[in-house]
Amino acid sequence: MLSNLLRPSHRPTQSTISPTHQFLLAPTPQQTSTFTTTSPTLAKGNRPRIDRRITLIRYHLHHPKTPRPLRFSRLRALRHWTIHRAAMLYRQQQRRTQELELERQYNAMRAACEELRIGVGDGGRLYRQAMVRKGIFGGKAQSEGGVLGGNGGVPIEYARAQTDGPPRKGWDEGWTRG
Amino acid sequence: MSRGNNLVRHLASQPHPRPRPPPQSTICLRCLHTLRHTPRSIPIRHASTATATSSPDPAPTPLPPPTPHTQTHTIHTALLLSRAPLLTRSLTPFESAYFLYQRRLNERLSLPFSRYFYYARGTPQEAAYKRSIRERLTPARDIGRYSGYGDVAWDDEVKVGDRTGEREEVVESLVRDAEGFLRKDKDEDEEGGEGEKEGEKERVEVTGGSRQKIGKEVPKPVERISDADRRGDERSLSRKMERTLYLLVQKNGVWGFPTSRLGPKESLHTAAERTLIQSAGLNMNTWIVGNWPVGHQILNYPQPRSDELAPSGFTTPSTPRQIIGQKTFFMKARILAGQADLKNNTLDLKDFKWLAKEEVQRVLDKREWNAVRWCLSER
Repeated sequence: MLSNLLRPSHRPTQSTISPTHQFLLAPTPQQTSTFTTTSPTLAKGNRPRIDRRITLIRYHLHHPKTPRPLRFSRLRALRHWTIHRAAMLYRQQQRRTQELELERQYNAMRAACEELRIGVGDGGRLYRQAMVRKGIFGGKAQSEGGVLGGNGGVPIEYARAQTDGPPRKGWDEGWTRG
Repeated sequence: MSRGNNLVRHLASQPHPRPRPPPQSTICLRCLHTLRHTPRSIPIRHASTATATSSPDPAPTPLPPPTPHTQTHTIHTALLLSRAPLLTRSLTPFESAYFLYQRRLNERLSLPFSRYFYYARGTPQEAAYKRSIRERLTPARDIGRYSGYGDVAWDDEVKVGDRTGEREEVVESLVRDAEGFLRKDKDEDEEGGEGEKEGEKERVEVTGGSRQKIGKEVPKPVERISDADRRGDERSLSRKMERTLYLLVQKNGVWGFPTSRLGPKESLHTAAERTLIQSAGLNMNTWIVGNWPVGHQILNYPQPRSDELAPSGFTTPSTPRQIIGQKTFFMKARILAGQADLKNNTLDLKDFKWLAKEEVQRVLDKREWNAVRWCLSER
């Protein structure tokens, strides 16, 4: 969504017709075979009528004002360029910050794993156990009789997307197990 | 690489009264010094002095027999239990202004709204649409009073201090639009004073007239700042909903993450699950993400201590073991529902808090903060 909003839009939109529209605009295909393959009732004037809704959609999707021009004065164009440039720089800084954060998190994780491998003094037993990936995307958790290291897969609640407003009841603090 | 190294070593091994680079070489003084004092455990090949009198390297001395490992660290598991952000981040003033600017540009570029396609003639819906379009001038509900058509379509930039694109204003306009309103012109408003007398009817001043609500009350979305934020309740999970919150617990007056020592035959994951149950109780829907740690901390004691419980993975040693410190591995976990409850905890915890990253820094010991500062999420 962000990238769509941040896309420069000072050029007029192209007058491209999407495939759907082309289909709507396309005339009925010409007959190419030497004999008719359709029902004889068609030849008696009972031609299939094009749906009225399709006609309406076609009528309303094609407006004579397409494409609309976007004309800027000189100063306005300069201002637009500045705004656009500032937004791009801002976005770049944001991305850089996020990348660096991710990199630091990865490095911390890698250092911890390395310490686990050679620094614990148990011959790497904990490290080997930690590296087991069996059952982390599904199956039962280890505590419920699943494989070693199984954590029951990704819970469905984890798929909750972030929203613009909070839920009416707030956080579900009354949840109890069982 | 080997060619270069050989050359460097060769140059360095040339007899020189002082460690000064020969004029044709490009070695810095420090490298030269290091090379001249290289321990000769690795035989240095002399390309040009192969025939010189170089004594053969002595036979490698056998390693001493391995001594029993008597000094170790204890292994602990700490839990980075976090609540993921519930809300999208709030926009900065620059972002909201920029998005409004782009939305209005889009308005200048988009096709006219084909009213007859969406509203049949003479229906109440069409009447409502006409009313609102007279107010907004455009089908878009979140760009304020602006039309992309007409003589003043160029005037799409908002003035300094205009709050049109901000979230509160957008919510306000959406709710107002959903409720429906009747717009009155200014002269009409002035001559008829009934509206003023009816105090219960909501009246919002706008430029050139006023609005009168005609529809039913529409519930507004819940505010992003919760009651817990206003109260400053750090135990609530409804606080700081656009941030990641981490569970911190208090033990012996010190704040930290829930930590426990690894038992024998335990993996980090099972230890983390056990720690979770022992510290914050069963009534939390949690998920421990992955089996490996996301961070670690090594703490060395000033004096070695004797070990009461042998750490995991060791066979019983014949020599007494000394503990010179502790190594803590941080496991990442998420809370999905429920709340921490310290009533039956066995780790001697007194209090808990849900804190965002910068608050964690304020509360934690400096060493522990340095261990986790790159594991925690900024947002």
